Amino acid sequence: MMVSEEIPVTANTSHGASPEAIQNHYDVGNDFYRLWLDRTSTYSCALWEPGDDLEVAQVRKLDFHIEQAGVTRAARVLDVGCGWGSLLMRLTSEHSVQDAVGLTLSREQAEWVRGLHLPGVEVRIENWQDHRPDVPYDAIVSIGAFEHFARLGVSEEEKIAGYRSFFEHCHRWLTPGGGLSLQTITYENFDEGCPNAFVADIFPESDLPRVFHIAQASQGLFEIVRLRQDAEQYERTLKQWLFNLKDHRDEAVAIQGEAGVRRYEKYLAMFAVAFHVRAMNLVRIAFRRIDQPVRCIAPSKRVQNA
Amino acid sequence: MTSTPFNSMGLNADEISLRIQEWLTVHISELLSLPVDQILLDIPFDRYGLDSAAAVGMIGDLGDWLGLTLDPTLPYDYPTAVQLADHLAQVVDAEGAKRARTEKVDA
Repeated sequence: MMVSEEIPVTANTSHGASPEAIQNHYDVGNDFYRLWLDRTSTYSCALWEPGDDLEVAQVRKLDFHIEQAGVTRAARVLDVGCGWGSLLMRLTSEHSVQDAVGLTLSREQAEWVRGLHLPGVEVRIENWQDHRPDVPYDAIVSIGAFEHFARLGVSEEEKIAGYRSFFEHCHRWLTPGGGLSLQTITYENFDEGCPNAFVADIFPESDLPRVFHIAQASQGLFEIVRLRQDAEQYERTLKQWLFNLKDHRDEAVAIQGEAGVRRYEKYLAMFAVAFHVRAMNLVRIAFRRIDQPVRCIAPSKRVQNA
Repeated sequence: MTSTPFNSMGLNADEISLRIQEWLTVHISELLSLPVDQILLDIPFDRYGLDSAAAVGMIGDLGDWLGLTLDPTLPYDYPTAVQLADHLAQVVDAEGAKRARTEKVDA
């Protein structure tokens, strides 16, 4: 199989949070996260329907993205930011995917997923910028990873360039007509000029996109098929995590210490508030690959050429 | 801050609300280093300059005192001390009634 026409990669520089920064948040002990996440260990906004418990809502979310990415009959699927492997497991066990490849920068997550010995699943400790698949993918899903694709403090132009590099990579990795389903936290009613020090401490080096950054970065490479905003769904998910953590507080303190648990309680509560007041939003976007992008000519050059 | 846990036994909802308002007054005055008589209970929390970190801290401590796990967004739905206290008084009162019923059944 051939990877269709290559789109030049705009920049070779590194975008987003470093492996050390990712490990700072995610490698604090798998057992700790097990206490307050659901049984599938899905650490991102769920998709709630009336009567759902957290696990049902998380699995609904996974299936939503699998459907959005057009995974039906897909042989090969990439999961950028695979966490503790809930999507990889769902793809191979329930959706007949033969090869599911997961990327993560977290060692503990990778070891955890490898320990599950899931047939057809490969997990790689690798930045998406370094991923060079031998065979293209039929679909790509990325849930709760895009939040780490821009480094705190870069200019808006650099930020969008970093995001565009991600879409260029996805474009090269996908077969013609391939789908990409993306979920990320975004800034909504928020002033980037006044960043929150506590949030920066919880998620080092990471900065959030706005919806228009994503639209601009993907323009010409991917068509936006569907877009939905679910701030209230993340508020509910965060509150459920917070209540779960409080229900298992003694065990959590045994792992993280009192100060560590308080820090997580504050983070979960502050994020719940941030979604409640719409400082942040949660976007889920279905993209379809534009197979033959027109060569982008800047408007100024177009005039010169005329 | 307040180390003795709150006990609603024998209090009606209005009395519970007043106790919670007292707690909020002390909490906000300590937070802002202001005398308690300068804390007005019917103006929005954000007018005191309480940011989300302070609001989250306040609701967490209040929950510890009441012995309840409180929703962190409550100060945004009930944005003054009186509104928040009145709402929580209903919750505490209902909890107390539920507990009394259970104890009666157990007995």
